[in-house]
Amino acid sequence: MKLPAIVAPGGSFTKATIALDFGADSVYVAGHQFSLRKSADNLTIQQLAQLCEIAHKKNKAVYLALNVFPLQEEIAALIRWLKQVSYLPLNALIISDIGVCKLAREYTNIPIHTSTQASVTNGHAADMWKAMGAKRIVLARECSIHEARVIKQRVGIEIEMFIHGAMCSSFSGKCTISSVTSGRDSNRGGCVQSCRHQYKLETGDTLHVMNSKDLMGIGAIAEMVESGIDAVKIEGRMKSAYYVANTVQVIRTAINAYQKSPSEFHQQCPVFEQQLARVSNRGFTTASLHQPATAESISYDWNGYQATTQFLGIVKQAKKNRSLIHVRHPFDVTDQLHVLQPNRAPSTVLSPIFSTILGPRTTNIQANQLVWLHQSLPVNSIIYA
Amino acid sequence: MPKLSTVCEHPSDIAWLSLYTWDTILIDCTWCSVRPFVCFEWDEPTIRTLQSLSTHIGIHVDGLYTQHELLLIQSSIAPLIQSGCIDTIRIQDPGLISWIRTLFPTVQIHINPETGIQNQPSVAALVDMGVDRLTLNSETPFSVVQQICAMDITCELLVQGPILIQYSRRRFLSDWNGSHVHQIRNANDVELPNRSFTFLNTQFGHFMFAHFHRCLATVPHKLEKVSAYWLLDARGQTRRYKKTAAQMYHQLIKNPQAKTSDAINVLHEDSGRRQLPGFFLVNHTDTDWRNFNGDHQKNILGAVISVCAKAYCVIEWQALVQLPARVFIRNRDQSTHEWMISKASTTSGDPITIIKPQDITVHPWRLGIQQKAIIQSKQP
Repeated sequence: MKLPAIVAPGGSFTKATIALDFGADSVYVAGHQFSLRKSADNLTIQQLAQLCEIAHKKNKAVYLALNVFPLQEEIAALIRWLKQVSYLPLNALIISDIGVCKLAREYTNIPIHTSTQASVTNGHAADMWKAMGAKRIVLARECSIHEARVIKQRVGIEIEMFIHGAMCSSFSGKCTISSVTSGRDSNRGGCVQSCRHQYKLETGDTLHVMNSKDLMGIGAIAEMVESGIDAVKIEGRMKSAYYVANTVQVIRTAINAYQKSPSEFHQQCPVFEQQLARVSNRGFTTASLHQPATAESISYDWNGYQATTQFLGIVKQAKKNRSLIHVRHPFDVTDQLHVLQPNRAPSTVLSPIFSTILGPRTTNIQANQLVWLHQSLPVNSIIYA
Repeated sequence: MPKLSTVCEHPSDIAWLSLYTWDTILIDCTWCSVRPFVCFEWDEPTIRTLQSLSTHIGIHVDGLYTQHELLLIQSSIAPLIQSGCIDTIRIQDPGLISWIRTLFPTVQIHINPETGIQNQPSVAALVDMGVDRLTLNSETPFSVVQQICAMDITCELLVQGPILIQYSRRRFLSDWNGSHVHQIRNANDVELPNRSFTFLNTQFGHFMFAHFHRCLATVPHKLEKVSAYWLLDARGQTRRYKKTAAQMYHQLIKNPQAKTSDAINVLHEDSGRRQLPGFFLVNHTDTDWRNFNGDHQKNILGAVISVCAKAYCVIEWQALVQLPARVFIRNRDQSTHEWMISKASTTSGDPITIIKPQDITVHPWRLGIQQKAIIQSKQP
């Protein structure tokens, strides 16, 4: 049974290492330019090199997103960037513009993956990208698993599909609402998600008419495996480290469970879904994985993000009897604190005793502080409540 | 001299179309064209009535289709092409180029604005694939339009009409209220009032149009600077709008100095939309890109991850640093400071002089260092 690889988002160096530790087979990251998440922390050249070293030691992969649609005046800078990254041992460049693909083949030997931004929905488009040198296609989210199977069989190319995370309301790469409404280019990293606003219609209705729910496709793992999908992708370079850790771990656990026993996997699915839902989300849908997405996939009356837990911090260093936590959200030491660790089920913090980085005990835990927790936890563990 | 193409929504348009000559007249067919405002079932005899008005007759096959949909489209379009009444196909998905070349080798292939081509390497790739014409997307800045139009490919500019700004497979309106809601002419973003967008739902999805129309008659001096065909796409507009626009642009072809203000007022009145050049100026993104190309992301040694005023600051490093070291701090507000780091401690309080990537060090607090400041080896 060939299982799909998990491709996880690395919005920063820390998040990328967390994704790898929690079970991702590869991470997709970006430098400070030419990707579509300009506001993510993104990685410097030296961090990209360090990440490649870390990933390759674990037999895992690093993909670099270059998925913008650049203007002509940006091409010179793009070529300089390609020359810089050509020396890195990256496993793929994720590209959506056919001109960028041409240049990437000219200036690097790095394999090409076609981004979902290219909106590949049929075998002819996949053929075109294969002819241009792509080794893998990240299909448009409008493709069903059945359509993905047809494309794979017809074209003979690796296929990657989104399995979890936020979704655009439109075909990715085919929306310029943000450009028009705010001067921020949707297809060059500046999208402000105006599509999620409320719109007042001439019918008198006021609703979030294009506010897409988040994708949750964990229940479709069986079908994806049987269809030969090569990789499943998690959206979220802008999302928190907690989201990355939780989502990767749950999907890894689910895939492993399916491998062990497909029937037991189906019984466990509701638990997996509950675990995924504990992190902030917009409500979930399977969107177009089985049938074309309908009104069910839209939060017309959206009331805000849903979550059952709160991300508190990340373990940055581990010593014999203590762990250094980088706090992301203030909390009280009397709160029930939980830990998400790589390769282990979630647990509770046994002794919530904290000291400041300079030594004295503290009960006043504020965001952005570094504090010692008097319990040893692995680096990149996540503290949540 | 530029040549003008347009879209014929319905045979009732033929009366005003016949007043002029056209390069290409395009039609929508409900089984393949994704965003018709008018549903009309064109047949061969009706299409042939357009042939005397135009050099080419084209059809919009302008969606992002599944494999199954393409099979249906192929069987429907083949008779029209084989009979010779259609000689041009306008597509959005560049993957269809080879499909068309294989099935219909004599047909002209035009790329429509939604394909989003805005740089010369992409244009060159399309030329290699055998594209005959490229209609530039409306968000391409004029400087880039000029550069692309100078290449060896026939270019076309949308000179007049609504600007499509979003294409979704989901039918937000129709599926929401269960009826076949076709069009909402005034949808206002509650957070950005006084801008009326148009929403259109067809069997192929949801389409959103900008709160203004592209009208290059407002900038005739720009039209003179590029060698391109012109496209008048007034789908969904009144007959008076279409006739007025056709007359205005045909006049501009003959006389670039022709007076257009009265005609533009008619277009504004009929559409309820401002008439603007619409070369999207994504000023904020352009500024961001320009700022990036400075030194802000070079020579980075680390970042400040925690600051406790008057107590300490903590740095997470990403490069090898030997102390003492002169470094430069760039705060998020872009203020910069020079700092001679003579000593540092590990998080356990031990002194450290050789700092490796991913090390975390603690330093006495310094005035002027902010959370998330970047540490660089050279003056930013």
